[in-house]
Amino acid sequence: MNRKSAAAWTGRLIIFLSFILPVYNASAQHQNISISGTVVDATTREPLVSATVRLKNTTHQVLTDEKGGFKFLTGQVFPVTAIISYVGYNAREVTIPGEAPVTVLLEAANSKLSELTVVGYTRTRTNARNGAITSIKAEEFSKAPVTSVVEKIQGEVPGLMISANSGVPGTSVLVRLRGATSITAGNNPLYVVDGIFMNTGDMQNLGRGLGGQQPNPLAEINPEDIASITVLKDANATAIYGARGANGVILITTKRGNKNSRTRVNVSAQQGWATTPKVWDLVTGPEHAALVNVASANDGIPADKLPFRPKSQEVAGFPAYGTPEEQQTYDRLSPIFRTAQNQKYSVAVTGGDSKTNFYLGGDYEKAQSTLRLQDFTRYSFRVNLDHGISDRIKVGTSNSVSYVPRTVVRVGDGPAGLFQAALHTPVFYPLYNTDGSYYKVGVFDNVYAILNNSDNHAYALRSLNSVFASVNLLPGLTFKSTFSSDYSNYHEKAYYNTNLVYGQPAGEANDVTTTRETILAEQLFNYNKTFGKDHDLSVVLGNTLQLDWQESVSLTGTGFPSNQFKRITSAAVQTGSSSGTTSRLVSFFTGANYLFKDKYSLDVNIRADASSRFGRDHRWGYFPAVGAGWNISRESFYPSNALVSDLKLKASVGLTGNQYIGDFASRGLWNGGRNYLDQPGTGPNQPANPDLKWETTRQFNIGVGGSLLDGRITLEADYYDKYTSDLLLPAAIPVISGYSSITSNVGAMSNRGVELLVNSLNIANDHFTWKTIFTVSRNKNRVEKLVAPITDGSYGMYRIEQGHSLYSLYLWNELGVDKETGNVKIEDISGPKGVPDGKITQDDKKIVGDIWPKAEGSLRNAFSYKGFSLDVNIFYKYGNKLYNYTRYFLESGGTRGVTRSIQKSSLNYWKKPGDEGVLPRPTSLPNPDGSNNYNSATSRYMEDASYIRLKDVTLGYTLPSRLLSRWRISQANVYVTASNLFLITGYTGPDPEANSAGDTNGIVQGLDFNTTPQPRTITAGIRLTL
Amino acid sequence: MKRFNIIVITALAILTASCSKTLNTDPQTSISDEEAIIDGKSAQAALIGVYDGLQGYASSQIIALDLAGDNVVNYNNQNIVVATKTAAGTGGGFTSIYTAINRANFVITKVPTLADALFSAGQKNLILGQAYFLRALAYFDLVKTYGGVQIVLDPLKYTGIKRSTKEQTYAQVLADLEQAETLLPETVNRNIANRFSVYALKARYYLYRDQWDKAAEYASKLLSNNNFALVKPFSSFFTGKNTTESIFELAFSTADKNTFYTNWLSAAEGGRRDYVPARDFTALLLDPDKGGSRSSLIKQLPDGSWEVVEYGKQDGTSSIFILRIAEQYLIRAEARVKQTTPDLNGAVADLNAIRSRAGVPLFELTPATSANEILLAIENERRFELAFEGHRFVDVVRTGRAAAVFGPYNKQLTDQRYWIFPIPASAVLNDPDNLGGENQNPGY
Repeated sequence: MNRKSAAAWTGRLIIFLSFILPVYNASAQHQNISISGTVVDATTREPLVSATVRLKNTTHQVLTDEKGGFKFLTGQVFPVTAIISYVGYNAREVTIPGEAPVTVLLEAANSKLSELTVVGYTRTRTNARNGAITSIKAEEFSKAPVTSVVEKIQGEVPGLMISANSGVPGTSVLVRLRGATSITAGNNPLYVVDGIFMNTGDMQNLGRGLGGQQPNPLAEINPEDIASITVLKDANATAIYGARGANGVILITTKRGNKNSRTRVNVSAQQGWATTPKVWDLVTGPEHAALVNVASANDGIPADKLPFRPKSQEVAGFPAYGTPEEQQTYDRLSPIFRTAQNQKYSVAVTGGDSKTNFYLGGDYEKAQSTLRLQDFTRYSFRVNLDHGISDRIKVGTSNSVSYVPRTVVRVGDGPAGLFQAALHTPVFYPLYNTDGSYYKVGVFDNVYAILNNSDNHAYALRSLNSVFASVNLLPGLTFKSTFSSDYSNYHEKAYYNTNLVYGQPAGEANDVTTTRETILAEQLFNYNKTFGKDHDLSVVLGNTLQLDWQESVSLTGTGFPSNQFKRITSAAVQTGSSSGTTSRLVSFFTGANYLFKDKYSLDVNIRADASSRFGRDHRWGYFPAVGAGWNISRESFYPSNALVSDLKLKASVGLTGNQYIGDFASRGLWNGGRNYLDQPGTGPNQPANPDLKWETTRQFNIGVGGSLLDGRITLEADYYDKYTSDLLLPAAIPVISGYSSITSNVGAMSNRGVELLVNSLNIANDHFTWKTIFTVSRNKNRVEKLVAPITDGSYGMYRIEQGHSLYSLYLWNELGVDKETGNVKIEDISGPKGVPDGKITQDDKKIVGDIWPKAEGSLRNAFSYKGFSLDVNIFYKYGNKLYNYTRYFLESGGTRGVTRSIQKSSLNYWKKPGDEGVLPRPTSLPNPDGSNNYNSATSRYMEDASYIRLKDVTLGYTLPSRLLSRWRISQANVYVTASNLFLITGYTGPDPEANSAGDTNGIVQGLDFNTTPQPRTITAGIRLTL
Repeated sequence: MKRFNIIVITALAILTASCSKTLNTDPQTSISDEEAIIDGKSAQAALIGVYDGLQGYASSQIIALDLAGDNVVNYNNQNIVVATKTAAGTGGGFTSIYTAINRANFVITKVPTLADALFSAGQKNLILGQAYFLRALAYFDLVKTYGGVQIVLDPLKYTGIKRSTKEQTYAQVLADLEQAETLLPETVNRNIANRFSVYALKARYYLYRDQWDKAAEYASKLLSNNNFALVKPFSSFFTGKNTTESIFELAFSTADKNTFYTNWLSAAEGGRRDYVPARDFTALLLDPDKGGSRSSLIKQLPDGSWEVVEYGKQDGTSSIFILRIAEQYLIRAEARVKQTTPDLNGAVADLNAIRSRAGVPLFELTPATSANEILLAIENERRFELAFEGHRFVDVVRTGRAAAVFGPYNKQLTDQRYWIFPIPASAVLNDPDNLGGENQNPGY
C-alpha cells in the first residue's frame, strides 16, 4: 500500500468511525458539557488503550484511544463521577470537577489476580491457581531474527531449556521442560495452539537424509501472530492433559481483535545480514604431510613406504603423494559460508465492533543460512474471528495456513555431507582433476561439486484450524464445543546428478511426501460461582476424541539419460513405496477449584485417557492431581509494612503420562518387504507385549511467589521433584530370539530442580524506565532404575545407566600424557575379574560426565528514555558438557593418514621425553597397556560447554506522534537488532550451542559433529501502526 | 435452551458409546503374528523371508571375518592389518544370523502343521528343505566364527537355553543338512537351495570337521557334474550373474539392492570405501605369479590407492557367492592330501585347475614335494581365489596356523583364545541365561 492510498484509507476509516459516534451523541442531553482526560498505568505511566470510562448512574461510556485519551459530551452537570475500568486493573471512581483534562491513574497490582482467566481447559481466578505456570507476552519475545517462537523465549521461562541445534534457520531446537522424563517415548512438550493440539513430530523421511539435521515444525507458525505463550510446568497444571502432559504443556495463544476497537493496521518490515563468527582452524598441506609421516613412521612403516615421499618412489600398494614440502594447501572451508540475508515483512489488521472482532495476519520471511545451500522461507496467513450471536451464544474460529519451502543440504554426518567435503577432506588434495572434473577424495564428495549441483528441497504446508461455539447455559456455566484440525504435508525432493557421489552411476532422484492429520473434537463445561462473599468455586468437565493419521509415499528413480533430466519420470529404474499408520485417543477430564476468602485455594483434577497404542488390558490411564495455595499476605497477622508485600505459597502433586510410542508397539507383528529374487517375503518384526502401558510421571511442586517494594520487584520460585516410572523402553531380550528388543515398561527416572524468576522495575519516571528480568534454573536428572545399561548403537560414547543422568558420556577417562613415552594415560578401573589389571579394555570405560547444565537462564534489561528503547538480552549456561566429535576426527595426530584433514591443534604433540601439556605421540598402534593415543573415545573430546552469549541487543526509537499525525500514522517505530555480538566460552569448537543429534534421540544429545555455528546478525526494521 | 442441553448430552453419550470401537485400530503395513503362516502361499512368503534374512547377514559376516584376517583393512586405519577383536567392537553378524534362524524356525515348525488341501506334501518338502538348509548355513556361520552357541529351534522359546559346545553345534548343522538332503531335489537353480547346495555345504562341513574322505566325496559330486565349472576369465563370475561357477549365489536386484558396494567403492562411484585391501595383500594380488588374473578383484583409483570391485555393481545387483565351484576344487585338493590314503597327484591336479584358470604358474609336483608344501600352496591359493568372501581368517584358524600367520601383525592372535570371535557384548548382557558372563568366549 503506498502512502497516498494509506492516507485515503485511514481517512475513510475515520469517516466510518465518526458515523458511529453521533449515535452516542444523539442519545445525549441538550445542555452538553465536555469531559476529557487520559488514563495511564499508575506505576509505569504508560497510556492504557481501550480502557472504559463510564459516567456513574448512566449507560454512557467511551473507550480510551491509543494514547489513553478520552473525551465526550454529556448532558450531566459538573461535578460528574466517572468509573474508569480496564482489564487487569482496579476500577476507580473519580470526580471530575470541570472541563480541564484529568489524568487518571489505574493501579495494576493484585487486581489482575482476582479476575477470571482461561488457561487451557480451565477458567478460574488467577489467584486461585496453584500450578507452576509462566506466561510470556509478545512484547517480551527476543527481537533476534529467529524463525520460531520457541527460539524467541530462550532463557525466559525458568525450567524450560531451549537450545538451537545449529545456526541454520528453521532447523530443530532442543526443548526440554524440567529435564527429561523418557528415553524412547519422546521428551518434547505438548504444544497447543489456540486449543489445537499441534503435531511436532519429525516428518522428514527422505531416504538419503540430511545428516542429522531436522526441520523445526514450530517455524511454521508466524511468531508475529502470537500474543502470548503460557508454559504449564507442574502436575497440577498438566495433569488435565493426561497421557501427554508429562513433558509439560506449552500453550500458544495467537492474537485476536478487541471488541469495540478501532481497526488498526500494523505493518512491519525488516532486513538483516548474518555472518559466521568462528569456524575451524586446519593445518596447511605441508604440515599435514609431515605429521602423517611422523605417525606412519611411529607405526613402523619404513621410510621407503611413507605416504609422503617423492612420487618417483612408487611401490605397488603403497601410493606416494610427494614430499611434504611439495604439498599445496587448498581452502575448502570458507567457500561454504557466506554473508546471509534475511527479510521479513508482515501485516496484521485487528479490530472489532460490539458483536464481532477479528485478527488478520500475514507474513513473508526469508532467512538464508550462513551455510550455503540452506534457505528458509515462510508465507503465513491467519484469520481469527469471534462473533457473538447473542448475549449467551458465541462462535469463533482460529485459522492459519503456512507454506514453508526450504532449500536444504546434507550437512554433518555421512560421507556425502557438505561438512565432510569441506572440513574433513585433507587440505593437500587438489580441488579439480587435470581434466577439470571434480577431484574427490576417499569417501568424501567434492565441496564445489556439492555447491554447484546440490538440488535438495523440502516444502512444508501446514494448516491449523478450529471452530468453536460456546453458550452460557446458566449464570456462570458455559458449554464450549470445539472442532479442530492440524494438517501438515511435508514434501521432500532431491536430485543428485552424476557430479555428486549420491548420483552414481547415472543420477538419482528421491521424492517423498508425508502427510499427517489430527482431528480433535472437544466438549467442555466451565462453571464459576461465588457463594456469599468468601467462597469461589470453579469446575471444569470435558471430553475429547482425537484421531490421527499419517501417510507417506516415497519414490526413487535411478538411471537418468543425462543430467538435464531431473524428474523420476525420466529414470530407467523407478521404485516406489507407501505406508500409513493411525492412532486414536479418547479422553474425559474434570476438575474443581475452590478459593476461600482470597486466601486459601484448593484444586483437584483428573483426566482419563484411552489410547489405541496400548495393550488391550491397559488402555485406560488415570491422571489425577491436587494443589493447594495460601496467600499469607492476606492474613490479618501478616504485617502490613512487611518487605514482601504480597506472598503466596503453593504446593501440588499429581500424575501425568507419556504415550509417544509406535502406534502398534503392543502387537506381535509380521512385516512384508522381506523379499528375495523379487518375490514377496514376510518375516516377524516385533514380539507382542499385551501388558504395554503408559509411562507415568509423579510430580511434586512447591512454589512461592511474592512482590517487594510495592510490586516493583516480583519473584517466583519453584522446587519440583518428578519421578517417572514404567519407562517405555525397547527392553533387550536375548538376541538369540531373533528380535533385538521388545517394547516394555521397565525402568524409572527422576528429575529434581529449582527455578527462579525475578522481575524488577528498577527505575520508572516520566522519561526513563529500566526493567530487569532474571531467570535461573537447574535440573538434576537421574536414571533411577534400569536393568542393564544401554549404549547407543551408532555413538558408543553415550550410555544410559542406572544411577547416572540421561545423556551421559561413557568414555575412557584420560589422565594426561606420559611425559617419558608420550603415550596416553587412561585410568585403569577394572578388568575381567573386576579389579584393575594394568590393561586398558572396555572394562575401563566409565561415565565421565553428562550434558546437563548446572544452571542456565537469562538476564534481560530493558531501558526506555522518551522515544528510545534499549533491550539487552544475555543468555547463559553453566556446567554443561559437549562431546566434540569433530575434534575427535580432526585432532588425530596424523593417524588418519591421507583420509581426513587435521585440525591445527593437532600439531602440539609429544616429540621428546619431557614434553608436557601436549597431545600424545602420534601412532595408530595400541600402546603396551592396550590404550590408543588417538581415535579412541576418551574424555579428551568431552569439553565443558559453559557459555554466556549476548543473545540480542535492540535499539528502538518510536517517532513522536506530532511528526506522524500528518501521515495519519498513529505509531511508528524503527529499530536495529544485533544478535550474538559476543560469546564467552572455553569450548574449543566454533559454538557451544551445538547438537547433531535429533531432538527425539533418547540416548544421544550434546554431540557436536560439524555443527553450523550460530550466526552473528544485524537486523534493521520498522513497524507502523495505521 | 433445554433442547440444546439434550443435544449436548446425547452427543456425549454417543461419543462414549463408540469408544471401544474407536480404539481398535489395525496396522496397515504389518499383520498379526497369528496370521503369518496359514497356507502354501504365506509359507512360501515366509521362506522368502528366510532368504532375506541371509541377505541381511551375509555381507556383515564376510566383512567381519575379512577384517579379522590379513586381506582387508579399514580405510581409516590402514596401518592396522589385523585388528584387535573386542566384545564391544563389531562382532560380525551374530544378531542378524539369529534373525534368519528365527525366521527359519517359524517355517520349520509351522509348515508341517498346516492342513491345507491345496498345499501338497511335495510343496511342503520343498519349502521345509530350503529352510533346513538355510538354518544349517546359519549355524555353520555361527560356529565357525564364535565356537559353540545357543541352539534355538523353537521360534517362540528363547529363554532357558544353555550354550552348546562346538561339537553339539556342528551336530545341529549336520542334522539340518541331512534333513535338507532328503527333502530337496537335484535341480540346478543357483539362487535357491537345492540338493547341490547341500552337497557343497556338506563338503565344506566335512573339511572343517577333518572328515577328509567325506569332504572329497561330496566335493566330487559337484566336480563331476558338468552343470558346474570354472569360468574364464576369472572376473566373469562376479561381473556376470549365475555363471556355471556358482552353486549357491545369493542374488540381488535393483529393487532388492545389495548395498555391499558402498562399503568398497570410492565416493566418486557412490560408495563410502570403508574397507580397502591391505597394502601387502594388494602387492601380492598384483604379482602376476601369485594373484594372476585375480588382480581383477581390485582396481586402482586416480590417487594411486586400490579398491575391491568384486561387489562393485553400482546398481546394487552384485551377488554374494555363498558356494562356488572353485572352493570345491580346493576342498577336494586339501582333503586328498589329508585323507587316510593321500592322493597327492589328485590334490595337485585340483590345485592346478584353479591356478591355470588364474593364469599363474602351475604347481609342480616332484617326488621331493612334501604334503605340507602342497597344503601351504592350497592355503595361499585359497587366500587369492576366495579373497574377499570371508574365508581367509577361518581357513588359517582351522589349520592351526593363526599364530604363525597373524601373530606378527597382532600379538593377540598368538593366543588361541582369540581365534574365535567374542560374542557381541550386547548379546551376552541381555541374556538371562548368561548370569556371570558364561556365554562369553574366554579372553574377552
